[in-house]
Amino acid sequence: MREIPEQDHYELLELSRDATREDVERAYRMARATWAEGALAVYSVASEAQLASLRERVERAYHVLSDVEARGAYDEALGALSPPARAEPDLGFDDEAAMAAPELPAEIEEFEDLSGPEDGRWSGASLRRTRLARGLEIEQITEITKVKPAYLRSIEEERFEALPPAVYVRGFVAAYARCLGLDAGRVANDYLERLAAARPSTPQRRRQRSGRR
Amino acid sequence: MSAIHEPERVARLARAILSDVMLYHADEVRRGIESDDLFERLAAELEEARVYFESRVEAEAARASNAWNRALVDVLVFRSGHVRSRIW
Repeated sequence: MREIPEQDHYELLELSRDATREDVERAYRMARATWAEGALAVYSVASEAQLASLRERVERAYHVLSDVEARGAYDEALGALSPPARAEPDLGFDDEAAMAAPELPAEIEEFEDLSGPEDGRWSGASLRRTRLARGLEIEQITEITKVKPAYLRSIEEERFEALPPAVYVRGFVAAYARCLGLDAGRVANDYLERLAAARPSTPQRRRQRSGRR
Repeated sequence: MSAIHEPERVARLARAILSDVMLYHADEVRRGIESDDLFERLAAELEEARVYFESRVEAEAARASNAWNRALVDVLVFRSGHVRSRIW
């Protein structure tokens, strides 16, 4: 498993460089809740050491970005660096491990019908249909994946505004797909495309809120 | 897509579908239990759910197992045991 790469604090919290104090607080609360011990689906795709490192980095990022002076100094230091090349932070998960075919629970393996969605693209609705076709309740998915029922329901209903940042949604959807015996990578990619189309990235949202183009 | 006929899978499908009704209409289920008009209040949702169930299950298996009606009680009613109601 590769090491967790060093990202800047803004990338880690999925904030733009002009994030307000409220944005920082909100992003910090979201990140802390998402990576809380034993509360998330992603724990199954990252080691405890990785999660501990992530939690520590989230705390460090918040400590710097919530302090005006510390943030100013940090921004100055960042100014000497080139801007980030990717839109989403790489949180250091081993993608191959995350997307690997899981050992399916016995009650899922007995279902032979593992065909894809009708239109060839995975969506919240097709995930729900597949879950029902396997006779699985949301609570059972939660037991296996540790993703909260409210998030699973939001994924199925595609209530994107109720979901955390995209990088976490990818983990949730991949865990959900694996639980259904599906190709986690393909399902997550399809779903993230739908999310990206419906929910602009953070800088775009900020521009929209401020009326800028 | 072949229809389900094994009793255990038929029962599991019924429970999963009705569990979704409960999850997606939690407030209405609670109010229906409170006022003892659950099946009238959720008539449209339950009909839609039943049609889906019957589309996935062999008719004879559905009839013989009585899985739908059992799941109605097991999932919607018994799982609402914490709700204050004159039903109990």
